[in-house]
Formats: sequence, C-alpha cells, structure tokens
Amino acid sequence: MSKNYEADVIVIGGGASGITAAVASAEKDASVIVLEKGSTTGGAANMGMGIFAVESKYQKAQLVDFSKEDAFNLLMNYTHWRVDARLVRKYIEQSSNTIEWMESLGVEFLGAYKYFEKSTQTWHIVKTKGSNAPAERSASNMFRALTERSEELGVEILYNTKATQILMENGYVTGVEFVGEDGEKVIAECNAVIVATGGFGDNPKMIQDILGYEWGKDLHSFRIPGVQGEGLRMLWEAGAGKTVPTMELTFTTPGVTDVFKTLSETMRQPNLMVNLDGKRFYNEELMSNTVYTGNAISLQRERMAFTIIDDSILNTYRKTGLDYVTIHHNIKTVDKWDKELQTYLSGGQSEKTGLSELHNEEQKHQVNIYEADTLEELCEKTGICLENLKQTLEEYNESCTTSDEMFFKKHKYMKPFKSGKFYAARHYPAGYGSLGGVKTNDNMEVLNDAGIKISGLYACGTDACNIYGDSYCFFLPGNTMSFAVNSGRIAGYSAVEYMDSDEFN
Amino acid sequence: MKKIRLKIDGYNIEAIEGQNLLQAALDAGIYIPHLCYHPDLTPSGSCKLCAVEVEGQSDIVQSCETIVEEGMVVSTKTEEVNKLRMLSLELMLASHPKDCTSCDKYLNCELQALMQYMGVSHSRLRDIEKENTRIAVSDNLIKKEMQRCIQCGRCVKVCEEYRGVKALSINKKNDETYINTIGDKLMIDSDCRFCGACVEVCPTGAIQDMKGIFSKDSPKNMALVPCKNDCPAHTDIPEYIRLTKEGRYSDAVSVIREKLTFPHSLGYICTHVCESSCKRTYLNEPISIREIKKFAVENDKEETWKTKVKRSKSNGKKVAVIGGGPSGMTAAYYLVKKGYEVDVYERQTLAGGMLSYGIPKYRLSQKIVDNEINILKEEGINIHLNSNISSLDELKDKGYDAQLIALGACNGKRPPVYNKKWLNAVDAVDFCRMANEGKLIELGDTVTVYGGGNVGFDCARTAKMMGVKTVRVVCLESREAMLADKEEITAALEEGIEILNSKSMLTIEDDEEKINSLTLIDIKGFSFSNKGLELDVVDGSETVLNTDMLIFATGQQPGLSDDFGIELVKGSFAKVDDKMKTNIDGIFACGDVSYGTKSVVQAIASGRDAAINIDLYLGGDGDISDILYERQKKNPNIGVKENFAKLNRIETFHNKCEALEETDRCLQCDLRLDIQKVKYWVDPHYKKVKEVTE
Repeated sequence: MSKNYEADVIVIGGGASGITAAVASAEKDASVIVLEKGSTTGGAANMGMGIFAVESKYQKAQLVDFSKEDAFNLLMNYTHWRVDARLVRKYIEQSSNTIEWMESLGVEFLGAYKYFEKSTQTWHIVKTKGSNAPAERSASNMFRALTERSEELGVEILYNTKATQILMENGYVTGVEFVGEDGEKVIAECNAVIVATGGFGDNPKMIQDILGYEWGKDLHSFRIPGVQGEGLRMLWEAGAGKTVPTMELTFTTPGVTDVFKTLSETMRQPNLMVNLDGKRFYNEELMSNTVYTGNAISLQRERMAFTIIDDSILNTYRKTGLDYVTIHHNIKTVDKWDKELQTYLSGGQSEKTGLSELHNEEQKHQVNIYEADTLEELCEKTGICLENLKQTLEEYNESCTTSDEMFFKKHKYMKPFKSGKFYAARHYPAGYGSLGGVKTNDNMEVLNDAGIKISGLYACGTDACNIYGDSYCFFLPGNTMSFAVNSGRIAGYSAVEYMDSDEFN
Repeated sequence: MKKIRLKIDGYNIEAIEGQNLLQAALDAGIYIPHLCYHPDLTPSGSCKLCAVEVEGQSDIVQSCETIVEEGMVVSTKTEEVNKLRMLSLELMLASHPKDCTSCDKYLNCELQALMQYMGVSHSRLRDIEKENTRIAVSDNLIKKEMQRCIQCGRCVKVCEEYRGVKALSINKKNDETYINTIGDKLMIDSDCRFCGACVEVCPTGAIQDMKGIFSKDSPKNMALVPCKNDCPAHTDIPEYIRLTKEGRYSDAVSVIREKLTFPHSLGYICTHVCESSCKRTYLNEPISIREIKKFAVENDKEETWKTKVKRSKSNGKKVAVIGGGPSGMTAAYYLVKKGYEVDVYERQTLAGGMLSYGIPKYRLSQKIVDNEINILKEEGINIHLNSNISSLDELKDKGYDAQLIALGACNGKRPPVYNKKWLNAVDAVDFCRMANEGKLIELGDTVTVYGGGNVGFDCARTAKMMGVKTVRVVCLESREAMLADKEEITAALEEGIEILNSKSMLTIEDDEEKINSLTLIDIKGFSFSNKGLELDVVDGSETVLNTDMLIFATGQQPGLSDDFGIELVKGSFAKVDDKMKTNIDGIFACGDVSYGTKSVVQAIASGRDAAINIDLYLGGDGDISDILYERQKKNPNIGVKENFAKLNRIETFHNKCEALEETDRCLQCDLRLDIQKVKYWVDPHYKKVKEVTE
C-alpha cells in the first residue's frame, strides 16, 4: 500500500450517475474520490444520446406543450402510484435546471426530441461538435464536461479500480475497500459512500435468479461489460433494503438487429406478428414502443414471436419507404434488403452476424430470419402452427379490406399478403439492463428493510432506479440517463448536507 | 542523452534529443490525441490525430513524425489543427460500428476515449459499410471483430517490427483494404506465435483475447501469464523456460529457487496446475513445464543460486516448527535466512513428510529428497528427528517466540461406516508410509483400492510392483472424470491394474476381524451435499468381489486432537485466520493441517507465507524475497518458427535437443507485459505539465 486514501465522499462507479454525484458533492466543497472499473468515465451512458427534462428553455422555444404537472401525472398514472411520488416530483422539478447546469459546464444541446411517434418531447439530445444532427453516442460529450469539471474541483478519479466492500461502524459508513489495478487491496476512509454502479445487466446469474430469464436463450439484453451488480451486492451486504428489480425490456432479432439494419428495421414495421401458435397477440401499430412489444413477446410461449411479410408488402416499401423510421437507426428505405438478405442467408450465421461469444454454440448458429416460398415451408422452418397461421392470415387479409376487429390497428398499417415469397423474423425479449434493486428515499439516502436510513450511504442511477414500476416508461424518453444524472446530483448534494448536519459529528 | 528545450502551448518543456514531438509532449504531461502512434512502434503519421502547428512551418505537421528541435514553438490546439483532427476521426467513425455496448472493450477502448475527448461521437459522412470485415476469422485464442478495425496499423507493425514475426499485413480486395494474416491464412497456418502483442496494442475491440483464457479475478499483469499466476508459489515460469532454452540451466534453477524449495522433487511429482492453465492448451497441448523444471535442475552444474542467497544477521529470536514436511521445512528455511534460530520437530526418522513417506519411491527416489533437505538444512536449521510433539505444552518452556504447526494431513479418512479395524484393511496414507519404510504386511493375491485419485494409484501400482497378482482400483468417477493424472492411469493400465469405474461400495462382508468380500453397485452419478455423499444407483447392478486386502484411498485428514492445545475446525484441522494465526497468540499453522490435502507446491507456498507472517508478527519486514537471477531486459523480437502452432508436446526429454524443442513451444505470454500502455486523456499524468524554468 503506497498511499493512504481518504475523502469526504467516495463514489463507487464513474458512469452517468457517479460522475454527476462527484461533481455535485465537489461543488459543495467536499473532497471526493471516484472508483471506476474502466479506463474512462461515462459508463453505459457514453452510448446514449441525451437526457429527459421538462419545461426546459428548449421545450419552451420549441413550443412543447408538456408541463411538469403533465409529466408527473403521466408517470404516476403509468405506475399506478406504486413508486416514490416525492422522488418523482423532485426529479421532474430538477430536470430543467439540470439542462442549464450542464450548459454551465459547457455541454450543448440540440433541442428536445421524441423517441417515437407517440412519445412526449422530453429527450434533450446532446450536440456534438460541428454537427447539428442527432447522433449516436453524443452523450459522451456530457461526460467529458463532467469529468473535466470534477478534475477542476479536485475530484480524484481512480481508474481500473474495483470497489469490493462498503465499510460500516456502528451503523455509520466509514469507508470502502477496493482493489487497485495492481490487484492490491486498499482501504479508503470516508464519511459518505455513493453507490452508482449501474445494475447487473452483465450478470446472467443475477438475471436468472432475480428476473427469471435465461440470458442468450429467452433474453438477449445488452451486456455492457462490467455491469455486474457488485454495487447492489455491496449495498445489500451493508444492510440496504431490497426492491424488486426489473429489466428495462425491449425486443430484438438476435444476430440481425444492429447488424443487418435494413432487414431488422423492415421486420419491425407494423405488420403481422404471431406467436408459435400462429396467433396474433399484439396491436403491431405499437411496435415502435419497444417496451410494450418486449412485454407482450415475453408473455408468449417460449418467449418468442414472429413478424411476417411477403413480397407484395416489401414492394410497397420499395415504393413508399418504411412506415416507421427511428432516430437512431435512421433506415428509411429497403434499398439494401436484397443484399442483406443474401448475405444473411448465405453466411454460416454464427460470428458473421454479431451473435457474441457470450452465446453458446447452438445459439450462435441460430437462424432468426427466414425466407419461404409457401406458408408450409415457413411453418416448417419456424415451428409456427400451420393450421392456425393459415387461418390468421386469412382473417388478417380480410381485416385489411375492412378493419382490424381484433386489436384495432389503424387501417393505414394494414397491408395484406398478396403474392410472392414469405419472410419472417423471430423476435425475443431484449433490454438495456436492470433497473432498481435498492431502497432509497427522495434524498437518495439508502434505507434498510424497515425504511430507516443508513447514515452516510447513498445510491443513485440505475441501482436505485425504482421509479418506473414494472416497465420502463418510453413515453418520457431520455429517462434512464436523466434519472441517473438527476439522482446523482441529488445524492451528491445530500451527502454534503449530511456531513454538515448535526447528525454527523 | 542530450536534453533540449522547446515550447508547447506556452509551456517550456524539456525533451530528449532525437525524440519525436508527440512523445516529448506526452512525457511532459501535455496530452495530444493520437491513435496509430504507439510508444514502442515506429510512427507513421497515418491517423492524423496528433496534428500540431510548428512556428515557422507553413503546413500542419504530425507530431509523431516530427523530431524535436531546440527552441521549437508548438501549438497543439489551434482551430486548423482541431478541424483536421475532427475530420480524421469522423473518417474513422464512418465505418466503425455503433453497437459499442456489445463490445468487450467498452470503457477500455482508446477510440471511445478519443470520441469523448474530441467531442466527436459520430461521423457526418455517409456510413460506410466495409465489405472485407469478415475475412479475418477468430480462433481459440484470438477473437477478431474486424468490423471494429480502424486500420491504425499498430497490430501489423507490432507483429513485424517489434516481434519480428510478420504474420499480419494490410491486404486488399475489391479496392478495399483490410487487416489479416498474409495470404488470408488461418492464424494457425500463418507465422503467428500467439504472443498477444496485436491484442495488446489494438486500440479498439477489433482484436481481443478470447474470453475464458485469462483469469478475471487476478490483476491483469498476473492474469496474462496463466502458468505463473496459477502456480501456488507464482514461480516465474516463462523466464526459466527461456533460460532453459538457451541452455542456461543454472540461471533457470536460480529463477526456480526464488520461489521453490524442493525443485528437483517437484520436477518429478508436482501436480503442475501451471500446465493445466497453460495458454498453449487452447492451441494444441500445454508446455511440459514440470519436465523442463526437472531437466534444468538435473543439468545445473554450477548452482550459481547458492552465491546469491540473501541472509540476515541473527536476530536472537527462536521459532519452533512442528513437522518437517515440505511446508514446515520451507518456512524453517526462510526463517533461518531471516536471522531466526529455528528448531524443526519431526516425528519420523526422516524429514520430508509426504515426499519421504507418502510418494512411492518409484516416482521419487529418497536420495533426491534427502539431498534437497540437506540443501535447506545447510542454512542452519536444527532438525530434531523422531520427535513427536503431541501437545504445545511440550514446547512451552523452551523460549520460542513463535511456533508453527506444519503437521500435514497424515491420517486416513474413510467413509464413516467403514471406520472399523479389520486386519486386512488399511488406509492409503499408512500403506504408502509402510511401503516406503519397507515394513509391509502380507498382501495376498488380490488387492482392492477404493478411491481413484493419485494416492489410490500410488497404492495400486506399489502393490502390483510387489508382485500382487490381481490389483483393482474401484472408484465413483467415470473414466473421464477420474481425479488421478492421465499418465498415472495409463501406466496403471499398462501394468495390468484393473480399473472399475462408476461403482460404489455397498457393503463389506467380514468375519469380525477380516474382510472377505465387497459388494459393489453401479452408479449413474454422485454428488456431495450437506447430508454427505449422495448416489444415483443402477438398481440390481450389485456385484460381489473377493479380496485379500482393501486399501481405503478416500482422503486424508490431520491427526490433531483437542489435547494439542489450539482451536480446531472440521474435527482435526487447525483453525487459522488470514494471517495464519491460530487462536493462541504466537502459534501459527500452515500446509495441509490448515487447509486439507492439496499438493507439495501448495505446501511450499503456504510455508513461504507462514515465514512472512511469522516475521511480521515478530517485528520483521516480512520480506523473504530472493533475487537469485538478475533479470535482463527481455528481447521482444521472437522471430519466426516454422509450423509453430502445430508443434507437438514432448513429455519427457532424453537429451538437450528435446528440451530445446519443447521450450521453443512456449508462447512467452510474459513478453506482452513489456509492451507500454497507452495513457488515456483522463490519465493523472496529463493533469499537470512538467515545466522547466530558465
């Protein structure tokens, strides 16, 4: 041990929430150490584009008719008031100020955006240098600004450093045990610990034990390296109360989505979707609400579903372009369909199609896009019940001329099957990672099972993100990152208030 | 080295004459973004990120290609420079995939850090889809995701100029360049030496280590050298393999001796976890590390290590070591060198513990063991033979400042229902001891050994060599899952020993004093739960075996009882904390008596740890390290070796040529540690500029 570490506040995790908490505490004159496992800050949020806020100056300028009251009511109704209303209120209230706070650090925003047609316009996308278009990964700019600000304020960030234990004495937090890059165990003393480790998206065992999904089989969620749930483990070991975590669910076509973008986007249009029984179970108009779609798919047998189109539908897209275009993939046409399909079907799927080495051999060779001349062939290949599918198709075609009596899908999205080959894509639940797991109050103070706070212990970001109830609320885009940043700010300030309070001696 | 002075962004800094401007700036704590540049490689200026302006030069220059000059005035952050850098990064990003979250390099990616630093997260250019990214394929050791390749060329350069291998090149197909092996060969058909240098220098996730090869729980500098990491004593294996290759046997032994006290014995009987974790296993077969060690020891004529041993002056303190096995003798050796007076109490007539009384002589001769004990003894250990210590009280008045219990696990451990004294049943540990002492009882015509570990085979093979007609090994495991080493099983079969797999003993038929026969039952599987052994039996598969002798090779345990005077766990084990202390102040325990039967090398490692802990306890610095061979700078240039990936393992060496051939198969994983690390913009090194004053 070459050096003694000591600080007012130790932040575990230098991602969106952690680095924000560090800056917040340091702005209030606390000395801060950040323990980060990777070589850079920003964590999973480096991948993101922007943050949720309401009543920001951008929204005002863009004449967005959506108030804090609207946002609060939307989220509380969405969750049936099963989440901490005080925390939700505080978060929404602070959100617009956080945009300005970020700007004071040199972050620029492009404006407020929607994520999909039906969502509200709350997503404040970070501007990248020299560009005025939304861009993937643009949020990393925000973390550079926060990192530089933290350094100005004297925050010490230890990279390649893994926290292993929160140290407690007489019910008070006293320090953190961590392992440095050289593998040496070190104990750092502090008055408050803020845990911000981002959940357990990269821990298949916890996913199986807590959420009941077998990763790689019926769940193909992001496995952002390093997000292994140590923060939650350390919190629970320190006596923190548990909440039931959820998966921030979406859906995916394994080996196709993000690799064969035209195939993927085309098969995510609002066309017929059936389960293994050959029956519809969803209003496909809602396909772009990936949370709802993921939820619905995970209710089906073997947690899978198939979207089906034929050449006639494809030809329509050739003429008119796709129905749904997403900001982040930005695929508008099917120009590359033939080429991608040929590449996909001719390749030994495995490593060529982006199924990672996290999958087992069988999974790597799984085919998830099918081409068939007849329905019989399609059912043979996919395992869908032929008899039912025939009937479903008949009914579906009929509905295309009248109306969708089953799920009330809008007529403009009802494209009948007329001719040519069939194409199907198999979809599975996916997700961005876990949400929640530790009990906190609206100051992000960690509570024990009895609801009493543990002095000096804070959690923020995804580890403490219990505000969506059972499903991520896609109607308020930019939410996960914004909650991370805003709860980080709250935790950072609260920790300093605690040290200034009478309780702390 | 002549120093010169220059000015960068207004800072007066010092640089070494002949140095490139980029490195000079980085050394001085001024960060200039860079990607294709690597401190160990020749700069090529191709990524354009390290662009700077130099006063008096009209064009922007690449700092990595510019040599520092006295009085140079440099600006690294002008608008023009920024523009060029942004454009260059965007060009790279135009073809780089955006699914960073599915990349294992996430948060440890130089490109990602550069995006963050430069504020460029995407390309304004049209997305370019590269055609040739799927030509280069992964193998068992190296994972390729070439769609993530930005063609910085570092891997090609490191392979060619740093390693002298030249397996990689920039290839071209359909007017598009890509990186792969020369001629698009599979890695195993190329000149690749699997040294991992390309992985180490790759700034993105394009070339990575296959998952599962390196331990995730160890720090990187240990994990990258699996043999050394997994050896309980962390012997510097790659170093002594190289020295053996060069025929420098004495130096090789010096390296071994830095960590191991019984190298010659280990050369015969080590359980060699190093070989199990050898990275070459993923290519074809592991290096014969144990054989190399033996060869080096047996060919060391000079024994130069003896002249380098570090010895401290006597400190007047006394330590007792109870038990003269590998663990106790090792602790005693290092404590004596640290200046303690050490008494070793050994109950047997020979020291060496299991080396003398457990391992059969056909595997390890007593002469080798005696010789190694004498080498340790020469340091000045007082060994008291035939001295059984059954209670700490016996040493109470002898003035020891600390005592170490290193009694091993010398008692047999049978399944509880068979704890009965039959005349013709014996525990393996006793059988081996008696055999080594030459005191064996009459065995009869048939011997059955129950238990299929290495000890079981020691018993079976010993019995066979003594002329027993029928020798059988009965074990729960299937043939594939047996715990004994493969070579033991093969040898036993060759000697005519029968192995009955997937069988459990159901009952023993006896006439009070003597066992007559055993009833066995076939099992489909078994597991150990908190209720004990649980079997999945095949109903009706009972068979009866007559036997003259039954040997229980079902485990060992220490012989400690409560009378000994320390707190015990699991019946007879010494309870120790993480400093190896028992519940009594000043009393320590190490080796099998503290953790159960493992291996000689584990016992040696434990003995070393005990010496450290006792020294610390008695006010010393706990430093027992020896540098017996002064490391020289390793030559990174390993060059080409024909058919490298396919070279087969040589198990035993008959001459130097074979030893050379086998040592040449080593992947030299440790060379990778010498490659310099690229510091990210967030590195503390760049937080303060090292300015010089006039």
